[in-house]
Amino acid sequence: MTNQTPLEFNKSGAEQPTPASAGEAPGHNFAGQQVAVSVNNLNLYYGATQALHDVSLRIPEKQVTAFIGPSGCGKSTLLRCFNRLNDLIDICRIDGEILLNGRDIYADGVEVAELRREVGIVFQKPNPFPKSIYENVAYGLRIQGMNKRRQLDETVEWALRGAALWDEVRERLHDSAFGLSGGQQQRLVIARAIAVQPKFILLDEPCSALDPISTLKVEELINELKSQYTIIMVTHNMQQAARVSDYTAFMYMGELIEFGDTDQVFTKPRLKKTEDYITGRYG
Amino acid sequence: MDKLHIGQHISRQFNEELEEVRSKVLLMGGMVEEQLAHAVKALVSGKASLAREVIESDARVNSLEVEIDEECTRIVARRQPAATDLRLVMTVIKTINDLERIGDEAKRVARMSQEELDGVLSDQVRAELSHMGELVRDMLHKVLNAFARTDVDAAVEAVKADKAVDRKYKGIIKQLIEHMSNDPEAVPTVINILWAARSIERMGDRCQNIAEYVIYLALGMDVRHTSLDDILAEIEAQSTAE
Repeated sequence: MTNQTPLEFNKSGAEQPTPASAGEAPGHNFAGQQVAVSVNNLNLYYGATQALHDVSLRIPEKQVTAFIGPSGCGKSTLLRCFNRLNDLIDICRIDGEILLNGRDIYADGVEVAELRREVGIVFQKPNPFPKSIYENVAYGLRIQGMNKRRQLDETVEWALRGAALWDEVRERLHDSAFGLSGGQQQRLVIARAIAVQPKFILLDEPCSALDPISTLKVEELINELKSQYTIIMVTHNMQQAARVSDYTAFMYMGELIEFGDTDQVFTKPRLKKTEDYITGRYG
Repeated sequence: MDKLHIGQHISRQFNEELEEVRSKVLLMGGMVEEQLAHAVKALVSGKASLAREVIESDARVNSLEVEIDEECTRIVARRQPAATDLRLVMTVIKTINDLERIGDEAKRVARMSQEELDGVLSDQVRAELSHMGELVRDMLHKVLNAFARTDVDAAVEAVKADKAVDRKYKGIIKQLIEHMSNDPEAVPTVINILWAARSIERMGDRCQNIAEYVIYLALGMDVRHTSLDDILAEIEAQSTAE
């Protein structure tokens, strides 16, 4: 397997985080971190309905950024822009710009399949393939042309270890993935996502179908993964955002209201709308 | 006035819990204010019944502190408060600690008043102690109001008032030192008066702490261990940034 892909962006060309437009913490410099994602004046429409309104934000590299907000605020829609999953919806149309490591992912000539290899996604409900545990993780690798047994074995083990699942499944790698618990299935899906060595991991309410202990295991995993991946998650659970994220973006009715350091957002939000939401007040 | 918008939670029960905690702090504050006033009065007048009252009421203040503390723990465990709610709970936990300590100092002053101070406590020192007591009581009254209304200006006033208390304290110490050098026989008694003066001065410091918590509650700004000028500059910077 090669790490060289069409989306291996030129790091030296990556922009430095800049203090920010509307929704961002003023003067925030992400403590010297690189910007991994830049969203500039993004508008998104489903037919005649506008779902995202002029969203601009910068997401730092190798950190966990959480999107919070009430149902229908556009947080999942925004997340799904980052691997162009919204392309699958015919009536969906966007304008504006999304740069991943400095490159416009909606530009002509971007291979969407390659983009999605760089940007893994995990959904609310664990969705393992109807295959063995091993084959679930090996699936993406085989598509990429990896077929040497030893190399596959090593990569599958590496991914399962990375997803903190190896010790629980090493004796039954060839059993069906459906025999795993919900929490294990979710970690298997994360293993499948990291097996192809993405740069970004998108998590769309990854724990909302899990029990509290499985949730904590996935949160612990997120914390470990952030040393290697830029993680962007959508969550309905504000305490989860507070526990695991470094940065928090609050969205409301398709707009980015406030973006900032998670410590700041949860102790001293700048805007009343954010305050009302995170403290459970009616605004 | 509800600057914290406590009554606006979707959970009405949460509104009630926070309101309850807040009003209990004010109740405790009122009790401590009375302890303070009585203790100083007992000191300057030598009225034994007042001193006894102060000492006896300490148990009620202590149990109220424990009760409020437990309620805060419960709120943190069950509600996971954030933003202003979190800052309110943190402020309450710290404030009641300082209130309880003010109560302890009042008890100490009340105990001193039971010693034989006559002949040593001159009318002038009596008047000065009484005045310092009034300054501190006024300060406590102000910070409790500042807490009740989340009023930054009132909190800043209280911080300023502590300077006057400190000046007064220094003046009293000077006089007591003079007294000791003129009348070595009186040293043990003067030291008792000195301890009482120090307790009153410490109460002022505690009031200043509470004033600083109120600024944190209102603005999310930690101004502990910061000079008054720096506090004012920070408040100014924050209000222009908004």
